[in-house]
Amino acid sequence: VLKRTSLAILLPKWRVSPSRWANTCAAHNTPKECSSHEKTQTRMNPLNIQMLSSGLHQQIFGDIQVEYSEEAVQKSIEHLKSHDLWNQEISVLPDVELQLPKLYGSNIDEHFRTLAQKQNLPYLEAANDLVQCDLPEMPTEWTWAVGWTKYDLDGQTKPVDFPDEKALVFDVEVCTSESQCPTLAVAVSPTAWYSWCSKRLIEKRYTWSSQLTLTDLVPLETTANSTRPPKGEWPERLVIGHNVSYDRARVKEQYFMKGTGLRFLDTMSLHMAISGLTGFQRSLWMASKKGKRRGLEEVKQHIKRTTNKSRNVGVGAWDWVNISSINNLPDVHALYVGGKPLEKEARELFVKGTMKDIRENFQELMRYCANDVKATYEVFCEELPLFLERCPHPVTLSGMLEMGQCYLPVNHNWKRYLDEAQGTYEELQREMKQSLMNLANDACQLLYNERYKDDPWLWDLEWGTQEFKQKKNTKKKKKELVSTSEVANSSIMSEFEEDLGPPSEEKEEEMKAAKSRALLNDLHQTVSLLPKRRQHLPGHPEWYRKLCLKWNDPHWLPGPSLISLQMRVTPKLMRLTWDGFPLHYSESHGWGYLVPGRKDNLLTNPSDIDSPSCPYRTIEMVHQEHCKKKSQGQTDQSEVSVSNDCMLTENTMWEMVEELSHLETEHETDYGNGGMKNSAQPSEFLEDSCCSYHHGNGPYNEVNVPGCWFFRLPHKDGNQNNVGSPFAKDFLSKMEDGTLQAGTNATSATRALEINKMISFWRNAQKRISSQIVLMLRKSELPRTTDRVGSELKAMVQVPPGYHLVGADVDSQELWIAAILGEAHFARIHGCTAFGWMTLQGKKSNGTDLHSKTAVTVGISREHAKVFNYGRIYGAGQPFAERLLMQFNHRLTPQEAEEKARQMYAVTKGIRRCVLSEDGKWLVKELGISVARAENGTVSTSDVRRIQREAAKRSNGAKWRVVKQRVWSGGTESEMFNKLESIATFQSPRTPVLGCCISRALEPGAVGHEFMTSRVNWVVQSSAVDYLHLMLVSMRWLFEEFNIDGRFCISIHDEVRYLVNSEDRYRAALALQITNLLTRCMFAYKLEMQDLPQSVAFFSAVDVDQCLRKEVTMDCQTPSNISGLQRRYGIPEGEALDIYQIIEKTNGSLDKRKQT
Amino acid sequence: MCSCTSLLCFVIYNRSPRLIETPALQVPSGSKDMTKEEIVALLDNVLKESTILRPDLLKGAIREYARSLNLVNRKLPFGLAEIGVCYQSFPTSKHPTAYNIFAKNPSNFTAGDFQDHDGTKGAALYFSFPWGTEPIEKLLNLGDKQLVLEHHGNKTNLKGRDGRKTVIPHVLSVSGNLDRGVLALLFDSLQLTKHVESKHKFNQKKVLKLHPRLSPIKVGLDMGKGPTVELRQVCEGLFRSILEKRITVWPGYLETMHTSLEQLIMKYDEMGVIFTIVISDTTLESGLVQLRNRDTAVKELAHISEVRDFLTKYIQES
Repeated sequence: VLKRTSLAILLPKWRVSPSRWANTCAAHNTPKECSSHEKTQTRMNPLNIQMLSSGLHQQIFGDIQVEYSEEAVQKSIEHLKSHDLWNQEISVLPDVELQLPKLYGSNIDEHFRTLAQKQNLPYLEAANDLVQCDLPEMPTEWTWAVGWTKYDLDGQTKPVDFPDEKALVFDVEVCTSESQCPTLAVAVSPTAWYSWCSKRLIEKRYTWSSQLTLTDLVPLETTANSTRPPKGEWPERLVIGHNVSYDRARVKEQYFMKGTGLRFLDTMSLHMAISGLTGFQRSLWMASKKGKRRGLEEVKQHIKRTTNKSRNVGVGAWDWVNISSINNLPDVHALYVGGKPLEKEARELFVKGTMKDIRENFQELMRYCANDVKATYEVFCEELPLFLERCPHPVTLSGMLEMGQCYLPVNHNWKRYLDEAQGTYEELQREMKQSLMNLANDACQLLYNERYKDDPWLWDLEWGTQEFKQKKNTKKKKKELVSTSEVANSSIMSEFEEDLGPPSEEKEEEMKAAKSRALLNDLHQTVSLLPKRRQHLPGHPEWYRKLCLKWNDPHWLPGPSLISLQMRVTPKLMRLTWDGFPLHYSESHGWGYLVPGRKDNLLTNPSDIDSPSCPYRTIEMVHQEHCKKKSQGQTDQSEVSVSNDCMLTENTMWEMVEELSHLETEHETDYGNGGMKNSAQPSEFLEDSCCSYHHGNGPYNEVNVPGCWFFRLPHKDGNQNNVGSPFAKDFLSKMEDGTLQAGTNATSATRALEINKMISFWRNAQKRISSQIVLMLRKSELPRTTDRVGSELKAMVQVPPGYHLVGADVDSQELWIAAILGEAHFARIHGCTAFGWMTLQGKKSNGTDLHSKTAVTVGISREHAKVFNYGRIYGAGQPFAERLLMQFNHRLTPQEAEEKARQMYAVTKGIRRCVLSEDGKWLVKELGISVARAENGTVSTSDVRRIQREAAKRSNGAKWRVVKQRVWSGGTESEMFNKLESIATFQSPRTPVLGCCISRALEPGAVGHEFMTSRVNWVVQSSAVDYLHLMLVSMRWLFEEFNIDGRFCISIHDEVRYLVNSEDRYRAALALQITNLLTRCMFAYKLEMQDLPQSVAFFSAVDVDQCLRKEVTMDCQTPSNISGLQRRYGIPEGEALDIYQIIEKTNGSLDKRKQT
Repeated sequence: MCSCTSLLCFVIYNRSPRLIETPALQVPSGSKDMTKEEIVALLDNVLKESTILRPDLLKGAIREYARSLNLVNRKLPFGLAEIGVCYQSFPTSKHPTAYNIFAKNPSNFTAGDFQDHDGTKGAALYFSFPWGTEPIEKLLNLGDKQLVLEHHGNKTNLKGRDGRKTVIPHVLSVSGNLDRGVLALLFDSLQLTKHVESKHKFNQKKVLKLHPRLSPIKVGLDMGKGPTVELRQVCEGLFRSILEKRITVWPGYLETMHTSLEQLIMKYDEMGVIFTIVISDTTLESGLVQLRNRDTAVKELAHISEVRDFLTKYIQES
């Protein structure tokens, strides 16, 4: 009852009164021509940032005149001055004069609200019908028939074409072992249950085509063999499901080129918005609720830390576990609905069973599916009011509905592409194996004269060979043997002599042959002397024998056919060096390398011991040669442009940040105690056992290699970890810059490395890609590098004839969002913080843009700086920077890295200072402690510590809360972080623009001080989602308003793409530009800054293209696509248009009639 | 041209090589009193009477088209293959995968675009020779032009059936230069390594690591120490038995000049011989032979009764 009333209260607010709607529409039909086209002066704000042209400003913000307080301006100028950004040269863009469509309401927020409400209305009504109803009784007997069956309230069943209902809860089951085709489905509406069975289930046939066709899919809106709506128009319908994109992929109408009126709402997505968990929280949740994943190191640490602390912190650090769950239906159901847990056993049959199993258990499986539908319904009823309350802006819902419509067109090239990529992959793999086998074969030659003893890599392999075993050939036997052969010989001889007299030449030949055959046969008898079980390649070295299949193996292949990159022997065979030192494997420390020069463990008499002795002299030679080459500048490329593998993609970057944040929170939360990092240095070394000329991860002297120190290879998760394989992904960049390389004249090794890199992408993506269903490709993190097999994948999304993809990347979206938040916090002027100024006005050419600045501060390349900058905005702290610095340049010592990172953070994020609490202030006064207060009244952390110490001393160790709030200060980004943290620590954090709540599992009330990084990150990430939702709403409005024939295609990270009829492509491009302008203005408006800088108002380029790719000019040449897209698949280059070009092409109008 | 010692020489004339007997050319160069024009006229005459060497095999195949079409009951598509000698002034080109299977370093073989001098486009397979990359195989789409031209526009004879339609087919031509192909495989399989004979003496070791199925001679059979007559008998027997399996054997035991085993092996390595079998007195005693593998240079003992099966399987499975 509660839920229903709450929703009823909410609904009216969302409704748009029809009369008003009619008014605005009418107003729009007669757009006022822009009265004055006079060239107005370029608008500049007091900080010399170019603003929107007055025409645009007037259209969006109305007659509001922007006023700036003198104080705010002065404050900003001081701040910019202190960061060398005042009075810098700036560039002025030509003003954009554009007649925008008439906006609704009295401000931009009302405009968006109106649009979204109109778009949502029919779907919200449908949802309301569902929530208000009582579900009809579930049928007890299910009909065994192809297609849909409707179960009426009176127990009647009848076949129908599709469930003709406004709202449905829907679930599809697939017998995954057979194919990706839907097998059966159940749906329920407020008035009836429906079931659906596939032809493949009902009709038994020997074979079915593996190719999916529309007739295999579940129809929800059309009759069989028809692709048109029965009443000529697509009605607005709503379908609810859990993880509904899986079900959607099996719905017939979703594959039509033109979208229908049906929308999906996912109870899983709703759950994630209400109570979702971060990746790390999922592990913890599993550990606490299910006892799984307890073994994970970071889980252990977290548990240890939080259980200790919970005693003295008010909020239980584990409270969040009870108000959230992982994403699967049973757990979500348990969370929102409770009661009897859902049964999931039947599910196994769909995963592992055959069609026959499903036929035999038909009734039971149908019931299972229907129960899932019921559960989904119950979850939805609980979730919807919660969702509407926590995400109150209608744009959020509208955006979600639109996102569920993504559509990726591919054509026959898709299949061809898959085959080719797979073929290339297999071929490369064969070649790699061949290269490795060649290496192993060649290495065998060192057996000769025991040359392996001098080999810097192979000296410690097992070189022993076996003695060929044979039973003693007793004398007696030998005699016997000879005699028999003599007998045989003589008998043959006599035969010939007797019969034919003196032999002719021919005969002689024959005789000779017969004789030798007989002799051979005799020798064959000696096989009995061999042991029953044959030795396995006794003459070959032990390590080689392990690489070969045994002769009696049914799959026997010649040579060392078992070799692979994963084997321990392989890096050695490849003669890999790290900075010129040969690689070495230690059981206890994993992969590392040997540095010659150690004296304390030289053996006086090397022949004394059994273990092989290390050829440290040749190792020295190897290294000297490397140094010589390096000084000649052959291998020196000190800082090559950052490898693409280092460029963490958004996803991996966030993973890393989140992971590292656990390290950080440790000394973040117990401030006051001045948590210094424990820098336990390894105990002192003897003079001789400390390497003076090489710094690295070590030396580890327990690895006792005479004459050499052992250093570990650096591990991405920190140096205390063992490296399991030097071919791990993290070392790809080290191979590229030549730190890790194959021996000088080992061409096969170098080639094998190259191939390994090339095939890495396909190996990882193969399964996911080949399992995609015909047209559906979920937005998956597609890499951007192009020297991997198959990485032109994205470009395989191609338009049908007569269509174009129109889309754009939001230029530095996250940076701008973070910056504008900081500016709103500081002085409410665009460009008032150093960080903001750099994002808006900074120029690469004079080093004033963000990345260049960071690069100069820390002394790294601009590309690397970019990674740090994004990392910081994602909430990464100093430990992240330290580790990343070491990864980029493994030659840095930890101390150097720490120093650099500290410097970087001091300049950017700033220094922690504290605002004293009332108690604190009182203590300072009472105890007479002199503290240095800054202008804003903050004190340094060391002063706080002094106060605490002093107070504790005077009050018998009592603890005082002296700090009210901690702030960042002095850095270019301090204001931004203060804003982010203030939002994140707010009792109920909401996104600043659309006011969406953070997941309940991250609210301070449930987690206390934990997961701070995730919360800070959430502010920026969710604002980026708000951005996307606003864009989707605006685009739908413009497409409908101006009859632009197109639909939403996909959004990946910060880019959106629309599939548009070629005729309308430039109008769509203009719509996209206007959308961006309005969206950015909405951000500024909601942050109470009634203006927008010209530089961010429009996309720098809108791509008009025929396939999906990063750059319209990219031809995506890869090993599996040698000739590039244009030649191979006939895809020409696309266009990238800026706002001026688009205005020219469209005449600055969205109206079809006004196009030239 | 007079200094030509060979009987024949090739002249490029209208891009087709021609066959001319050397004496015919010697006449003009011998008589000095002829004018330039006269020499040119005479040479022209000589050229006209000469035989033209075909630059490719295409024409022959196209000529056979109509007859072959009847042979397959006018059903399209079908293929025609022709093997023969032809002379080319520019480098020409088999199937990439075929090379890749046999190649030691498949990456030396690359596929790429190709354009004929008359503008016909297609693809080619290239090999990176030490002197540069050259095509060894070509795949060209010739359209129907050549076919129509050869049959003087008589289109009815040319038409074949493709399902229900009758059409003039387009010609896809795949041509390979065997010489160059073989050369490519030889280059690909030649391995040069620094061979350390003693502490200070370095020597270059040449091994022709031909794919087992391509090696012209798979096995070298030699005698070690022991009674010559009997050993030779054993060799003889083994030789025959291996040959029965169609494995080529080099009868090294017939060589009367004594060479050390090391030299022998060096020679075999250069010949691309995969296995060297040495029969010695231990063979007579216990049936064991020494088997040396080209690729690993490891010498192993094996029983004489099992050698043949081993070799057969080794070559088959490679």
